[in-house]
Amino acid sequence: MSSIVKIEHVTKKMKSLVALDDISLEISEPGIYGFVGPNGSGKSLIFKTILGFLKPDSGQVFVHGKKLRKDILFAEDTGYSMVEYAALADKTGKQNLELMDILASEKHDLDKLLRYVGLDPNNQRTYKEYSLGMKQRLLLAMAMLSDPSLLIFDEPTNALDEDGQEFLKRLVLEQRKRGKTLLISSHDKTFINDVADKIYYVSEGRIKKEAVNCDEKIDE
Amino acid sequence: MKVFGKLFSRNMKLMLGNVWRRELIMLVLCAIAVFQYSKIGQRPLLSDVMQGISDFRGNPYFPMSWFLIVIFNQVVIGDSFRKLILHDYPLVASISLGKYLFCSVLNLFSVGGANVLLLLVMTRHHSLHFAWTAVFCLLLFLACFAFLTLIFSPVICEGLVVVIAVLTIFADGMPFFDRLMFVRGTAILPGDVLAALLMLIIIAWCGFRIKQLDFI
Repeated sequence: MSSIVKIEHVTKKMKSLVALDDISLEISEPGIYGFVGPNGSGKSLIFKTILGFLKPDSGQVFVHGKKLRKDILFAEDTGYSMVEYAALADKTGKQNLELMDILASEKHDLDKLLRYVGLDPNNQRTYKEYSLGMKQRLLLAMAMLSDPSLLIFDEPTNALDEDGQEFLKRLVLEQRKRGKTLLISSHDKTFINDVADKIYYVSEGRIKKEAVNCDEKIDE
Repeated sequence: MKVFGKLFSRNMKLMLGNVWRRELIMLVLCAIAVFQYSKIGQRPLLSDVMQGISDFRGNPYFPMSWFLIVIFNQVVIGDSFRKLILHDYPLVASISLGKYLFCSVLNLFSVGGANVLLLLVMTRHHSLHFAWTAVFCLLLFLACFAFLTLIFSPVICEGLVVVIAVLTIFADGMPFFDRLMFVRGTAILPGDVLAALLMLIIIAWCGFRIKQLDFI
């Protein structure tokens, strides 16, 4: 079975700082993979590298067996939710999805998807008028629009209230049940511990440890 | 085709949302500069406003209208092309880079071309050859600038544009850019063709470099 995600000795410098330092990891089985670590440790950079948005200075990245920046530019069959690549600010949630759907090869039931993430399809508020929690939910919907087999959620628990976190937990577990692979970064150790099959602890641009219990790693 | 149309419309909205303030300011400045040449009830000639540097009895004056028109599109576009490619492309990552780039260049020429068209509408042009040369040079210069902003900081590229414009004013004989000055003649010289080719090479080089860039 070929790897879903394979990173081989990736190093990335941002100006003079070594942001990713000889990172290697391989994900071959569907499931939920948590990434924890302090701010600036490199979690988001790992995700951006997997998505193909960042070009490593050295090393190589394969997604679904295809080498990024060689076979393909960006990861295929992959959805992501990252605040840096947000929705269009002056469009409603549905309009944002419609725009993505028009560009996609097949049409999707957008109302159903919006309701699935807990948003009202008829809400006329634009993205910039959304609360942080609503923005987070819309980004999740955008990530799942084309029903990709690999989902990457960067800090999805940010700005979510208790209900929101419960909803997110249900959502990711349901996606795992459907055979998806999810890479999730979060500061919320409890959330990651509850959902992740495997946890990577990232610090100073390196993967320090892989484990199944977040507390175990952080105590180290 | 429908997808391309939607992509064009999306990119246009993103680009215009980024440039409209600069467009407004530059339009007002250019309109003032252009119409200072007009006589009552008469539109100025294109060759008047793009006359370039003139020397009246040993007193050269700075051709402000020419300068503004030459840097107009670059100031308006600023970092918007860079944003369109390096920031907004990942949101529609399923579109191929070639198609997205082609669409973005059309977006760029729509904004830049509209500005050049506006200049032509605002003026009369007794020399069609000069008008066509000016349109070609301004758009090629714009494309070169836009692609360079992908690799270098847009501020540095803007600085380069200003330096080129000032050099053209004060150094007689700048290939390519001299063709934008009516006073320096409209005959196309081999140096102009070489400079245009160099710009096309720069555009192609920047285009090929995109795959080496970070999309952030």
